[in-house]
Amino acid sequence: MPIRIDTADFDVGREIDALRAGDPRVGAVAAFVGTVRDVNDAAAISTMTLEHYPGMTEKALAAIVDEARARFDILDALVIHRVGELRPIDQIVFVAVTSGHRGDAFDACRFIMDFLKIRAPFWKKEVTADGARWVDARESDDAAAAQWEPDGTARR
Amino acid sequence: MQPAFCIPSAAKMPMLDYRHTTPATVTVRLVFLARLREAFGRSEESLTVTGSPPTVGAVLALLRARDGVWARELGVGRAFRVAVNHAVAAEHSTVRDADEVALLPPVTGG
Repeated sequence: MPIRIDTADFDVGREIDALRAGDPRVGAVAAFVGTVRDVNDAAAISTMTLEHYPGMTEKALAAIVDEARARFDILDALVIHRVGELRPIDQIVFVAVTSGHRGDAFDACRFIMDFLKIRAPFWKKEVTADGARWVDARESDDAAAAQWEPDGTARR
Repeated sequence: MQPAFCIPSAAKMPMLDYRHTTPATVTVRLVFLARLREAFGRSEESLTVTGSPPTVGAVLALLRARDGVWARELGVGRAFRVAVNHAVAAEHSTVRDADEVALLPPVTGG
């Protein structure tokens, strides 16, 4: 299953083992793990709640993975995103890509993360000493995704 | 001199699709996510909208007309997206009966 939305944690080693199991064409695995920081915008974070839009989330992520497959020479890809309540240090997101060679694996992994950040319908709500607040979208995320586009813009 | 406009011959007339010219009334299921769900105090509702054809823009116009938090959150310059049946849609996108129309704040996953 290349896309998974889950409240449960994931084991990076096991996921990578399963992704490349039995495929001798794989010469490179690139993986990214996103984790919860204890500070955001100068406020200490005690917990974070992640919600998503079931139905659209899976479609949006599948479209991003399909686009990565079209752009890069990759063999397989896996996206895991957690939802529910998380704490600092917890793992939030995992992207792993297998390829014959490292260049396409690195590029596809970064591409998937960059577009996940601006297109996948997830929202973070942080709890700080001042109460709960929805996390604001960052322009730097739009800029990161835009780098992949010939005209330098990426629509959210 | 070229005429500013001309009436095309019958053979060149495009087929008119009268579904798009006759006013229609549809009922859509609205879904509100994250910050917008909290701001509006509800996660979903049914809304009946009329148009030729009914569009996302017509849905938004009805919601903005409720004033207060609706007009504020959906006002000009506010960042949000609309998805119709789980795909991001534009203001001019047509909505059909029983469509799921979701209002999404800017996403912040990853």
